[in-house]
Amino acid sequence: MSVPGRQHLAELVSRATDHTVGVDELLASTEPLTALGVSSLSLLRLADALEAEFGIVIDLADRTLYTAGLDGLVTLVRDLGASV
Amino acid sequence: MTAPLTAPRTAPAGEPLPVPFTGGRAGEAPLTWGQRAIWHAIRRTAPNDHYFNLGRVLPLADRGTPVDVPRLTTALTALMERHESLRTRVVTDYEGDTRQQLHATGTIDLTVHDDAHPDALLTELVGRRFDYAEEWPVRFAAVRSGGRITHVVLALCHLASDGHGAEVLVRDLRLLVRRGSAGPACPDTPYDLAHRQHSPAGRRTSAASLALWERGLREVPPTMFARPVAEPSTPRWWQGRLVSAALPRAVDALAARHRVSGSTVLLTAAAALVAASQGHPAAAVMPIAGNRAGADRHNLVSTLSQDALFVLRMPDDPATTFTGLLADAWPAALAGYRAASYDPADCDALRERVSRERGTEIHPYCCFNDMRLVDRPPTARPAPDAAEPAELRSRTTLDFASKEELVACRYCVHVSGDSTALTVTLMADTVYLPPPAIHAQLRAIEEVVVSSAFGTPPTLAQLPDLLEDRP
Repeated sequence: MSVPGRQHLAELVSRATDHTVGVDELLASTEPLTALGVSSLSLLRLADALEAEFGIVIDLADRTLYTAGLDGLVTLVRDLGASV
Repeated sequence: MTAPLTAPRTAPAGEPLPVPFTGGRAGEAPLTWGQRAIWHAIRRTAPNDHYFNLGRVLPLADRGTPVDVPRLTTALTALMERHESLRTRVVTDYEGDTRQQLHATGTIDLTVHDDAHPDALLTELVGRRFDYAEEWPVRFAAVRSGGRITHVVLALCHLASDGHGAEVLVRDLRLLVRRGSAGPACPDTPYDLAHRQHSPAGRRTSAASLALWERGLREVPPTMFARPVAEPSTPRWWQGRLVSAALPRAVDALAARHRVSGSTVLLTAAAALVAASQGHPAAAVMPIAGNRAGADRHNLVSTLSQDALFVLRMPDDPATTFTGLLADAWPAALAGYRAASYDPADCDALRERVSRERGTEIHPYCCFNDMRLVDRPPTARPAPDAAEPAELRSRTTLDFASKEELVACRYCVHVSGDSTALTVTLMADTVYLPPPAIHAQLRAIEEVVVSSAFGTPPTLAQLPDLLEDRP
């Protein structure tokens, strides 16, 4: 059983932005997702995608989503019990 | 395959021309959550329910081959067949159960007016309420000048579509008229959506959303404007309107600087001023959520929008600045938008139950509708020089745009506009917000946002001062 990696989550985030934010950009950055241009609509789509793919429940009021960047998202998703 | 219907070729000016359509499916379904939500709003506002009608003007003379009546009616036939929403009526049976009725065939009238003014036609078309059981939820008119169709004018019943859907419809009509085709249709339909929402999976989604509502409804003040402060004006509801060239710059600057959305900046400003003006420890505002994040639904012509619940807790420290509110406001707003997919009947039942338990009616009667449709991260532009915001603000206008006999709310802010100017309107019950107070709220929204972006953000303690009447 493996856990979701940075690459996989970067692809989900990029898809949620209709690829306006690229996978490579996400993998290379330590900035919060919002600083890279991930919009409200993209965050809502991303929450749907994460819940559908990993069977977890995303709390959009959790500030980690807004402050912690891709690595923070990986930790968040793993802590919520996601596995692939 | 049936023979194609012949498009009508003559159009005596002013006389309704029946445009036939056929070839879709028919059936009955429960209302979708979005349809039910707007149905409740319509019933609360009747007989003033024309208030919810949407209108659009499609110019056709700007470029390309001249459009004649047959070309237009062919496109209208295709439009009616493509969008099930336009072929759907809303019917209540003798037991009070309201459902959607999808029809496969019928005719819709087009009236052609020679040399008329499109805006005058629009006003006439949207100014009448729709007969939900007996009429199609759309009206078409066209302006003809010099032998060619120059404009198509549409009135849409809000049961058929929300603002996003109206934009899709107009785009599809333009493509159908110009190219004869609008590409693949949206894979989802209101009929299928209704069946999904009423399934076990749909009910689980609704329950998850309502869990957030329950937490919010238990903690917020019962209502935002509790005390009548004046005799009603005539008519009772007035809509103040502020048009500002400074606001788009300021909203974008704050959104970029604090990494939140522009919509959240405006929502937070309105909410903070409401809480400050009324002395509440938290503001409860109901923004309209588009509910179009799902890719399948993005282009659906239907009313998907529903009320969300936004709760802004005002920090205890009065020295907290407006910008200090944004970091918590954005997650709260997004969580609210995510919880805007629910069965409105269950939400009303929840609100009634919480009201009984708290011993008083719980309803914010305070709403917010950002009608701008572009969702893009704010562009950071170079900071304006010191004089520019003041120069831009000197051009701000403030007036009253309309007045209504009945609106089932006390405070409704609508935002529209673009990067050059924003229009912020506040439709309010003058018993709770007399006309000068309506203007004071609008001026204060501009002041909070502009001074936070280009000057010194006001503190919570300073917000009530911004609402004092000024000549």
